[in-house]
Amino acid sequence: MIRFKDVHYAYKGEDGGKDILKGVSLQINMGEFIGIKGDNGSGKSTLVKLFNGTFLPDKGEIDIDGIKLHKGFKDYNKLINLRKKCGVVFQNPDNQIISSTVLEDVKFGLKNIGLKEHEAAEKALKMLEYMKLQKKKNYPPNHLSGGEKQRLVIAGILVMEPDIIVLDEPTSMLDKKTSKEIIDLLNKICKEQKKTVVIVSHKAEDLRHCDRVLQVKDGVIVEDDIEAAANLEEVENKNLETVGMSEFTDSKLSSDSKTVYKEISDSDKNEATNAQNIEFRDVVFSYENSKGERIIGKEKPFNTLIKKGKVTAIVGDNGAGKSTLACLIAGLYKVKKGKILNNDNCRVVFQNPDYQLFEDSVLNEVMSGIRYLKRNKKKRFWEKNVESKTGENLSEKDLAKEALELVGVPKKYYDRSPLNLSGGEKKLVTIAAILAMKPDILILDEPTAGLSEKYCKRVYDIINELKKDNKTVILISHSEEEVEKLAEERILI
Amino acid sequence: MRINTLGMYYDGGSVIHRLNPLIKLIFVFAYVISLSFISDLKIYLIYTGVLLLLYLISKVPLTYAFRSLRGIIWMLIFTFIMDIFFTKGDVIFKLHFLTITKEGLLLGTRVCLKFMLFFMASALMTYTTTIDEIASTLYKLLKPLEKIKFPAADVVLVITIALRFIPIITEEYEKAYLALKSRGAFDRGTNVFQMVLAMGKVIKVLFISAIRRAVDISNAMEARCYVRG
Repeated sequence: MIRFKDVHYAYKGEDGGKDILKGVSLQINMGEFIGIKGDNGSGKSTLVKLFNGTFLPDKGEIDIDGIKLHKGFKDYNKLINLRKKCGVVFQNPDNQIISSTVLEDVKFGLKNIGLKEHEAAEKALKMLEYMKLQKKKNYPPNHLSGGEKQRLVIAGILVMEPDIIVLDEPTSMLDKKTSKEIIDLLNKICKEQKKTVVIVSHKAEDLRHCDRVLQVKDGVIVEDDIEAAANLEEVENKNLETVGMSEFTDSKLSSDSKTVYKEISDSDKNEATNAQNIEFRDVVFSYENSKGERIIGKEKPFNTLIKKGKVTAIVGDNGAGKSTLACLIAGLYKVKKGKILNNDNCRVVFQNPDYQLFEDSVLNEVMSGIRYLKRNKKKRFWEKNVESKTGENLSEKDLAKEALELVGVPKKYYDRSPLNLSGGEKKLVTIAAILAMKPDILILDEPTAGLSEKYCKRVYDIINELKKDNKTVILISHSEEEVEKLAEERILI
Repeated sequence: MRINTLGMYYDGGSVIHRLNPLIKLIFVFAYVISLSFISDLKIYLIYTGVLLLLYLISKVPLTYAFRSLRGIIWMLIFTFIMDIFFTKGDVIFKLHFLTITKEGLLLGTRVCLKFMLFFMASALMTYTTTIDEIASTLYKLLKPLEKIKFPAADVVLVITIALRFIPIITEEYEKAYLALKSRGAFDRGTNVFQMVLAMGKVIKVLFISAIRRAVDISNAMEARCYVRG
């Protein structure tokens, strides 16, 4: 049995620390499939790190099937036993892959617990077969797709045969199909091998097999829902209502909106030129070291149209080349063959906000893009593309404030360091930083990945506001629901 | 974003891939150390020939060998310029205050070749040997030194994480660079000083992320029962 009794945990910092968990009490029986949900910053990831002693509680006690953890716990042998018993898969698979090939990575834990090379190799190969990764056993892990990386880290933990498996957002970077595969696999492991599975997720569909769902809010467990699985559909509908999107569920979008553009006709080409639509003409792209493997235009050159003034979704499986396409439209990569027309003044908001925050305050962050454009005298980009079109001559600060207000970042955050914000707030700041640059085309790469309901709603509202203003927005998403709700056009790659 | 760098494995399945990692490690050490003592350009050519032949046998494309140099290209250019302009000797070209000497040209070529061969030989090692093999071999080599209190396990851990980090950091560099490029920081027409400042910001983001990554990776290693030594 797993038991948390009045567990407190605070991050230590210069300002005296920030309380994350404020008295968590829970009980999980062995063999149960448990879900944990909650907003960004509510303390879910911290809770996960307490299961295997990565963090120790500041106050209270944790009992993991007989091993008791408390403040000042120092028994190293017990800690190793705990980690054999309780395997934890953390949030980002990239930060958990240790070795330089897939097979070596699965063997890593086995060798640490003293298995001989041939025993470890035998077990690891079986596990790779179980996880359908045997064909890629000698691949460098960074050549795997997001779903494969996730399967690899799960394999690395499962191969050690723990009784308890705890997973932090295992599907946040995966498409619906791969997410379902992972969740079904975990359910199979729980039911067939009688393992205890604890899964942290924002997504209702990830929690559908759970026996119980615990909700964390402001550092405490506020809800223990026994009938979670049965109520899944209700939960999903409730979510839609909360985010104000229920009107889209009946597919009020016109039938035209579901057109999948793969090829374009001559009349479309004329339309492209006349309407300033973005046009891909015979585009081919491959990465320089991918052994000639094409990412875009795999079988034949890629041709498509993206209509001006519409919200267009680019959809496709993990690894299909959606983000690459975004970089090509924005001119961040150069096409190998063919050309892209009418893609001037296009800006991208990438998936992970951590790589898009460069300044010391939120306000400076949002002003930085405008500054770069204004200082670019050679191109006179700002005068040509923004001031002359809008007729406005607002200061950098006013433009930044306008963008921050549009995305809904509270004024009290303007002077704070963007790095100290929660994941959802960081995302809003990165969107504001690009919107302030007044792009003609805005690309949002997985704008809601890893965001809780509250921030998803905010991002949806922003896209809807842009839609009302007839802005050209390109939405890259692996969430079918999101595309259905927001996009007027879609392109499958 | 698929970038090939030092620290990455290339699945070639060649004789060199299967060769005992200890032999490979000793060869690379011997190659690199002996190279440091050579000054005759003809012997450099032999060293280059041997390395190219090994790349051929290993089935690792030669483009990979050259791309392993991408990280040091600016250092090579800088070294070459310094050598050709600031070495005294027989003048072979003169324009105002700039003079190029024969000795400078030879020195520049030698130093640059030396660095290139260093990197390409090390890259061949990591392209054909997994990080785990390198780590366990290094540990076997360094273990006797533990008797004189040399922290062999710690040194191996640092090298393992550093090798694992090179491809990760390269990927993160590209993410941060593209994000700032999308904000117009590297558009044509931006002045060089602004671009240098912007690169500083990319490096700051990388630095923060490297620390975060190091903590995450060590947590993940410990979660899989890793104990030093």
